[in-house]
Amino acid sequence: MRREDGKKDDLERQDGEKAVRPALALWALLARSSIYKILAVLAVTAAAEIMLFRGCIKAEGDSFTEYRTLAAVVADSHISLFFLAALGLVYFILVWTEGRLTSKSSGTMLRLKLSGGMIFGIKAAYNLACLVLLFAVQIWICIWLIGTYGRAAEGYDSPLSLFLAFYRVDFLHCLLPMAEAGKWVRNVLLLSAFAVEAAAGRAEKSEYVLSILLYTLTTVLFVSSLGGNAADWLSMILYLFRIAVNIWHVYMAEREKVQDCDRNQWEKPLRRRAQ
Amino acid sequence: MLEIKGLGKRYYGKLGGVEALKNVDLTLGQGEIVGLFGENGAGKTTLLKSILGFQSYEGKVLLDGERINHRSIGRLSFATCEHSFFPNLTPISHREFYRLQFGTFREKRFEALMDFFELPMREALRGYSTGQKNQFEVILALCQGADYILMDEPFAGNDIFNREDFYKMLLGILEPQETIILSTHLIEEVEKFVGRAVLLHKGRVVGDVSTLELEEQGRTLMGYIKETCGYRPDRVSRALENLSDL
Repeated sequence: MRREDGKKDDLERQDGEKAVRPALALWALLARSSIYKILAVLAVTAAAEIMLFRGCIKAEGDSFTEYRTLAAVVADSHISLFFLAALGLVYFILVWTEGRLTSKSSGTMLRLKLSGGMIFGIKAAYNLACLVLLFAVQIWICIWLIGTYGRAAEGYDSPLSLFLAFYRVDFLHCLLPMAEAGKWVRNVLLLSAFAVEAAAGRAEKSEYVLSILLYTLTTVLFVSSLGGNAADWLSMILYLFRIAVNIWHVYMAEREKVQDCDRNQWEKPLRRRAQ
Repeated sequence: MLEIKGLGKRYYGKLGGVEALKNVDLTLGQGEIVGLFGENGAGKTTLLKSILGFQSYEGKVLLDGERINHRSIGRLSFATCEHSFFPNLTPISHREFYRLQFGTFREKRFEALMDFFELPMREALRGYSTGQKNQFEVILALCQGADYILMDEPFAGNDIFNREDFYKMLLGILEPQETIILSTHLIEEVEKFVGRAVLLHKGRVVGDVSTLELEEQGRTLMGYIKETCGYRPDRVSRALENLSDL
C-alpha cells in the first residue's frame, strides 16, 4: 500500500515538474530577451544619479564646511527625473520585448504548451520582477547617497537622519513610503499596472497611446506630498482601471480561443492578446 | 489521426468578407507525407494556420478525436517561410527553450542536422542568411518531437541542391509515426517525396490522390494538378495574341 502511495507521489511530482518546465522556459526566454538591456539602464541611471548627487552636495561659492539641505540636494540633482526616465525605459523595453516575441516569433509563441492565461501570468510576473528590481536598486542608491551626504555633512550621519530623510524629502518618501500605507498601495498598484500593461501586448495603435498616457500621468503624479492626497487617489484609480481592462481582455481572448468553442466563428477574429 | 471536419474561414477586409476556406474535410493518418498544393490564394497557409489554431475558423480540427488545446499542441510543429524562431537567440538557446517547452525534443537529430547543414551553433539567428534561416526553421520543426510536422513553403529562398539534400535527409530520418504536411509550389520537385497530394482550389479541396495511384495511371502530379484546377495551356498564347492586336 505504502509502495503504491510512493509511486503515486512520484508520478504526481513528475507531472508537476513537467508542468513547470514550459513556464521556466518562457521565463528564461523573456529574461534572455530583455534582462541585459534592463541591467544596462539601471547601471547608467545609478552612475548618473551618483555623479549628479555628489556634485550637488556642496553649496556653490560657500566654504567647504557649509552644506545644503538634503532636500535641496535631492531636488537639484534631479534624481527623481532620472528614476522616472529609467522607469519609462524599463517599461518600454518590456513592451518592446513582448511586441517582438509576438510579432517576430508568433509561430512559436502561439504553440507553447501553456494556456493563454498562464503565458500572460508568467509575462506579468517577469515584468513585475524587473520593475521591483528597478525600485530596489533606486532605494539602495538613495540610501547610499544619503550615507554619502551624512558623511560629508556633520551631524547627518545617523540612522535617525536616514529614517527622517524618507519622511522629509517627498521623492524619497514616495519611493519608500515608510509607515504610509496609502502610498505603499499606490506603489504596488503602479508596479502591477505597468507589469500587466507590458504583458498584455498591443493589438492596436490606440493601445500604444494608452501606454504612453499611463506613463506620462505616472511621471506627473508620482512625486506627491506626505499623506493621502488627490494625486495618489487618481493614480490608484488609473492603475486599477488599466489592470482590470487588461485582465478582462486576456480573459475574453481566452474564452474566444478557437479550440475551446464549437460555435460558429464567422466573425471578425478577436485579438489574441493573451499570446 | 488528424481530422479536419467542415473547416471554413472567412477574412474580413474593408471591402467585405472573403471566403478563404470552404467546408474542408480531410483526414491525415500517422506516417503520411502529404503535399498540399494549389495556386496562390487557394487557402494552403490558411488551412495550416487553422489546424494550428492561430486563427478562428468554422468547423472542427481533431487530434485523435479531441480538439487541439495547449496540452496537445506540442504534437504539432510548424515551419514557415515567415519564420517562427527567435531572431536574437542562438541555436543553443533554442535547443534549451524547446527542450524545456516540449519535453519530446530530439537532441541527436538536432545536432546531426545542424552538423549536416553546417549551421553555426553560437551565432544569433539574425546573423544567418535567408537560406540558413529556412534550414534552421525546418530543423526546429523536425526536432520538436511532434507527430505532425506542418511546413508552409519551407524552402522558399533555398537553392536546388539544398532542397534536394533536405528531401533526402527527411526521407532518411523520419520515423513511422511522423506525419509531414508540406505546402509548396515546387510540385515536380516533391513529386517523388510525397505519398499523397491534396489539391486546394479557391478554398475547397478539389483533389486528394496518392502518388502511387497517379503512377499506376501513368500520370504526373503536375498533369493531375493542371487538369483538376482547369488550367488552360493556351491561356498565355491567347493573351499574347490579344496584346499584339492592340
